[in-house]
Amino acid sequence: MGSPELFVVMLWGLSMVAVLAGRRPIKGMIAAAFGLLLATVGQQAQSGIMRFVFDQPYLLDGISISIIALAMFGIPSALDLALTKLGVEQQPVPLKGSLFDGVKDTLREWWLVVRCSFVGVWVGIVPGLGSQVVDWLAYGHAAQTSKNPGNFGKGDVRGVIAPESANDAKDGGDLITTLLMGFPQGVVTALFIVALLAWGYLPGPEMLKKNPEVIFSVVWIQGISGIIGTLVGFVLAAQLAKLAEVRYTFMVPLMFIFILMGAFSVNRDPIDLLVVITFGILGYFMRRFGYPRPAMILGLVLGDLMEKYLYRSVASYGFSWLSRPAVIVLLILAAASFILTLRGRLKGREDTPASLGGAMARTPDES
Amino acid sequence: MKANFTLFFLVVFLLAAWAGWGWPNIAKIMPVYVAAIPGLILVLVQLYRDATGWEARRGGAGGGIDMDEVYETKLDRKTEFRRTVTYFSWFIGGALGIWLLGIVIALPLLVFLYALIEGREKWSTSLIMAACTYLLIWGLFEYMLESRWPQGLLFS
Repeated sequence: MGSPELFVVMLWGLSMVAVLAGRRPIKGMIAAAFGLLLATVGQQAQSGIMRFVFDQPYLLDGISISIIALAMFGIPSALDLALTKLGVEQQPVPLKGSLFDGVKDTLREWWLVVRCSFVGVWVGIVPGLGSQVVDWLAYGHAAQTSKNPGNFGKGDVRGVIAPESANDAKDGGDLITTLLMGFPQGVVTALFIVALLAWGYLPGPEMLKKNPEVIFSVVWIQGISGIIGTLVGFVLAAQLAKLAEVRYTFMVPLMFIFILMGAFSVNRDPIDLLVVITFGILGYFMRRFGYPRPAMILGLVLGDLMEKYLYRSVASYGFSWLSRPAVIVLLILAAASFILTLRGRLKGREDTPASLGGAMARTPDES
Repeated sequence: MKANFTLFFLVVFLLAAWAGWGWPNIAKIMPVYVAAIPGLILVLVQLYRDATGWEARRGGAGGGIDMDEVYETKLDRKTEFRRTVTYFSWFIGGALGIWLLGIVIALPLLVFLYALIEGREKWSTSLIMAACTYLLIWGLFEYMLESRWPQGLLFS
């Protein structure tokens, strides 16, 4: 795929915002546009022009996505606990049934696992789309294709199976481009390439001819590590579930520590703290008034890449890139999925309110 | 009130379009043409919907799932407001503490005071929590990883 096609794929990914924003497509798109706008803060790589920098050196490299994500999700979540003065669970809720119920659920939903695994591989292959995006895409797909989307956000196990399948499969997609084409998809695969180079292997088409055994080894290691991870999960599941019962007086300071330390460790600049407060307050208001925060994060993540591919497309082909056959096909697919979903929405196919969270619905302590 | 928060986005998109209008095309295509102008149009649509009660007339928001948590609380407004302000005060206090005292002192202090005053935990419990925080921040980062945190304004 060239830059024009990759730009349209990004656009398609962003159009998923309207799909994922479900009950509030306009607000979802506003949030995504805001995220795109934030992605342009700083010195533009292509032209060197300062955009929305306001003579602040801190803004030259843009605003860190990790600080924004920490603030927008962490601060309102901790506020939930502080408001209700409860733990994540109001009372001890032991894990019901056997751990093998999870295995049975997964086997029963095998077709969803397969579909979402393909979503994960696709996200892994597309440069720049990462774990921030894959969960939402898989969850959205599962909810949209479900006969009872109202159950999502209320304990439907498919809401767990879908993102987890996609998330695990994404690593495989990452490795396809990393090993076979030699370009990394992120920091982890970049480090992986460095490690391979240190051992004398050159990732890329040549590796397929010269060292296929290394590629097969990586495939096996990936599979075995998944099995080990599952076994560890089996052993620790009951202990981890107890975290939900911890009192808010322990959880809120713990969240303060991780949010403040996480934000401050990015640049170790006091302005990081100002940014985390600002976006924390913004995250609170966005959630309160129904503007989906994941849509904004999606716009922020994709914005930089979209601009890069758009710039390359225009610089290389002018506006004739719009007439490339693959671009036309992808645009039609993007438009079709967008319009069909919105049309289905307007028909009011589903009527039960549901959300990805809903912690605020817990019974509060009025003291 | 909902329209009021939409106005925030109206102002942001307006300012972005205004600030970026004079840039060369290469720099403004994304922020102005792809983000700010479509964003402005969407905000106007949302303001119209808020002002005319469009969603209410159609029986609530559209079908499907919510992408984000739905805000729903059973607290009365006064309690909710008080607790929200208190929470943000603690958080901002923690951030100010890091700026003034440094993270190694400020975070254990924040944890201790929050547990003691807000959480009404025992002195001993609060102290243990603060000590654990100190061990995490100083012990793990400064002692084991030899990664020095910046000193606070008062000590530098």
